[in-house]
Amino acid sequence: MTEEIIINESFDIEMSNLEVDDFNSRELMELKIKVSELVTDNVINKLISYPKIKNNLTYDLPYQRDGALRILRDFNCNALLADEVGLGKTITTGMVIKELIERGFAKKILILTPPSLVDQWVAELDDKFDISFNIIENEDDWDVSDFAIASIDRVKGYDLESRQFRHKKVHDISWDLLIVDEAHKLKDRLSMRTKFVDKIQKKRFLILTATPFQNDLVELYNLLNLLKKGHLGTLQAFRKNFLERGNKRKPLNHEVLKRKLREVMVRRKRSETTVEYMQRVPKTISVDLTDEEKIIYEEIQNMIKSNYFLSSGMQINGKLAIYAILPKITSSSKSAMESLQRIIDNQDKYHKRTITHAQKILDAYAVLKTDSKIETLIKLIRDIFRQDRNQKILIYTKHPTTLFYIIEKLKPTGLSIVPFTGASTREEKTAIIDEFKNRADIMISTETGCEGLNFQFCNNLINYDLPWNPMSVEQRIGRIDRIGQKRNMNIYSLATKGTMEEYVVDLIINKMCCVGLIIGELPIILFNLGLDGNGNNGVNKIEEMIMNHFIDSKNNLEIFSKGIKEIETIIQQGIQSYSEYKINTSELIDHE
Amino acid sequence: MSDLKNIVKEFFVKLNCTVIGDDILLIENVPKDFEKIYGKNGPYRFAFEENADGELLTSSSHLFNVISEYLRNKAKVTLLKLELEEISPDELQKHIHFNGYNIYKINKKSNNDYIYKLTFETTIHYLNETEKVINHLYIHDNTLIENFNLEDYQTIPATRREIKNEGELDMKLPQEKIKQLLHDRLLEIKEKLKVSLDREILRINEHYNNLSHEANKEIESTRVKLAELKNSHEDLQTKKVKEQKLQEAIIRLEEKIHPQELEKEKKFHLIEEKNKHSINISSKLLNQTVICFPIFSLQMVFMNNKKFKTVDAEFNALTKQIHKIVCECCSLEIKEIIICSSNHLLCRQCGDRCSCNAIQCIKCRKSNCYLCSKQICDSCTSLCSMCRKNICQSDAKTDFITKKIICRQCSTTCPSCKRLGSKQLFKKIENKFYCPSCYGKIKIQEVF
Repeated sequence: MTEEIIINESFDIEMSNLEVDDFNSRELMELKIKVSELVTDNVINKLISYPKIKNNLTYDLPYQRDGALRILRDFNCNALLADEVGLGKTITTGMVIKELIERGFAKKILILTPPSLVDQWVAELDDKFDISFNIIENEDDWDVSDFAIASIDRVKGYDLESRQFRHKKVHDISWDLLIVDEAHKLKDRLSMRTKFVDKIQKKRFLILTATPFQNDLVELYNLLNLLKKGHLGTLQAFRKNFLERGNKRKPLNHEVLKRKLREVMVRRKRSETTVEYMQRVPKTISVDLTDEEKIIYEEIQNMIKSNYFLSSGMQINGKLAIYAILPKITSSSKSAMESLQRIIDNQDKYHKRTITHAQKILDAYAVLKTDSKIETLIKLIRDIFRQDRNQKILIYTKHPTTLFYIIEKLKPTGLSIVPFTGASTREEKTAIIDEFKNRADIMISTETGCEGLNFQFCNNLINYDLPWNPMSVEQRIGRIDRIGQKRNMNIYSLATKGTMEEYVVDLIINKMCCVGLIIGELPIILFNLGLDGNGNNGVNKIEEMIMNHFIDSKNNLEIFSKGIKEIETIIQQGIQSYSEYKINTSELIDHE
Repeated sequence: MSDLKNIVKEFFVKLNCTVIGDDILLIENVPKDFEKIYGKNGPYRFAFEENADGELLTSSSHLFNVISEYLRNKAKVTLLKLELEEISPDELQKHIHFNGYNIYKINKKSNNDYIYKLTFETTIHYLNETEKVINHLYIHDNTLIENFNLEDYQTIPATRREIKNEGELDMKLPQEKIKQLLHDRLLEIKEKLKVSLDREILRINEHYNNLSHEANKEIESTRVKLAELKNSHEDLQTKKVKEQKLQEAIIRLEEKIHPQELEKEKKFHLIEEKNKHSINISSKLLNQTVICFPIFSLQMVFMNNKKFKTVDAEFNALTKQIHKIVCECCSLEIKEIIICSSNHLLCRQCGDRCSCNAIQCIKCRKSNCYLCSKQICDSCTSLCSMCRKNICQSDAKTDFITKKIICRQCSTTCPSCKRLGSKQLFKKIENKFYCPSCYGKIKIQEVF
């Protein structure tokens, strides 16, 4: 049977308007044609787009370029990119996307990622590749997005009544390239997620995962069957040919299976590259409050938990409301005072009792002689510079008020400080990095401030306050934990002694962000656990869990610590299961 | 290599950069917008041979992609004027046979005609391969012309005022032509793709056939088990439970292979594979050059024996052809000067010579001789005063009585005096016509 080849033709007949266009010389016209005739690169033997983006990339890593070239040249972008975590699959994929666009192969591209990685993908593609992707929020967005990115969890929704996917429009579009990040979640062939992806019409399909299977080789089969139907035969044939009876992880005909995998997979290990990975060393810095401060701290907690009322008399104990005020009040004395003043100034909004309580705390602040937290910070900074005066320190806070307060308090030290808040242009960001790298001792930033910036020349990070969202913390650490970091990184986190802060710091820093995972692994683990993305109240799920325990504990530290322990157990299970994932994958696909 | 060097040189000169050197080109004063898209700040030092001290440029160097992109929105329209020679009387003689006439005077007026040169860049994408073809098409009067090549002509830049926007070109023409030009190459690509597509289609078909076959086989074996169970000697209760389980298994398997669903899925993946193997052709207009050339309106005054004739003509300076000299009788184009006795310009078909040797045309040709049917020119035509018909010189006689012209038919000779006169004036005696004088004489003799 011979199939007819489809031919799609487009003819751009837009004639120039002689009335308005500039007319150019014969020489220029001939030059233009000569150059056009010269630029005919039939087969992809090199990345023609690379020179355009290389200045945007912090490092020139040949394996990333090589990976992109192999995907383009050898697989025509129908491949599984299974590089180990930390090798920069996003960058390699970005290179593939850029090259396809540059060569005119791709006009419609869709990226499906876990919810927490959507923004990161968008930022990376924009900053490093000058490609603007549109985030799909609702179904109408499909009509206007040639370069679309969507959280797979958001768009895979299935309406049981109409027996249709809610975002069915995606299936009407013929995509030139489909990319699914963290694709190991497609291991279950009967899941809606897998069916949703399988129904997408695509010319090229790039699957990204560092761990194509966990416990069962059938997961790998399902993933590859999604990529290329029948590549490993039917499931029955796969079981017969490649699975040892009684051991789901051990393959029969190992070499044949590896050969089959090589036909569709690009996989590189960290050991094959020259990239060095440094350790994160967590250091919790206890803030010992004075008695007066302790009273204020407790009063604040009391106010939030039991004395926080609207003018109508209704108690404000919703998670979101607490979420809004708690971090500000615990960030620094300055931001606490600012928040309290706002309550006092909003007499219409808040209940008299709350206002009186706020005023009482504010009065206590007014007579306070010591700010233990800022003093601890100053001492910590001195200690760091005492060890090595040439070091750099990156301080994070969630609030601009705290940021400027710290600057003010650090002024007498005579240290050179760069503040950084808000979004900036790429040029401004470059200037800031330059300032911090070459002149300043300290940079103080909000985490949203320096998203996407690289400070691998600095190995000291201080969390003046800590977000309860581990991904935000991971983002903070990610600024210094980058390729090119030559030293182990000190992650200092300030926590008020004898308060819930100690438990939160322990959970997020010691049990999640600094447990020896490579950058990029924590989002995968949270994604695998279903703790990635937004919770019911629009905050991160882990954050929401901590918040729930905070509310439920009613100021009882023991109850709160138990709750935190529960989260810790879940995370540990996730890490354990992910480690198994890695080992199993490596045994099959990395074994020489 | 010198081609590459020339392109680089030419390009940077056009950019108003300072280009120094010969083997190695040093480019200084590079504009910022170019530096930005090239990703490198100037000055540049380009070499064209290996081991030379500079950035080695080959035809696949990134610089040429950048130049191509830089020029993409430039040089979209070019207005040119062909430098062509005007026509001289000597040149005219090569095109028109003067037939003994001389040019007394030529008045010239020029108008412009246009040829559109459309340069298309056609990109053919298939799988991960790209082919690029550049085609130049020339259009004149909404017709593709094959025998023109701009490279054969000297040009000077034209101005907007010299170009009359003559409405839109019919773009179906170039579109069809490009299709024609790509036809053979497309056939080759199709053949290549078919091999790969057939292989992938076989994989998909085999996969779905195997799926269906495996499930059917399983259903069959379950049915066999069911039949065996019916014939077994197990107790009824056990049999019933087992039977139910087997029947449920059959239903499950049938649901699993659901032929329509499998077929739908297979079709989807087959279409997807066909799309993967499709050819995408996109043609873009790279440059539109309007080439104008003069068409001279000539007013030539020919002269011969003090006779002057003004002849209008058009001279196409591009084709070097004289047009629009037309026969004033039949309006056909002529290539020689024939002027009739009445000063009409005519073709050979519309002219004739009279017996008097004068050239006569159908316009000035009065009639044929009524008697001998010979064509007679104006000056040779006589009117019979009797029958009022046109007659030629040889058939024209003079009535000796009235001295008027009469034709042979109307004349007769007096048998007596032998003089010729009009029949009407003669009198008949015994079937013979006598002139009035001889008639009188005869009649008098009879009386006396």
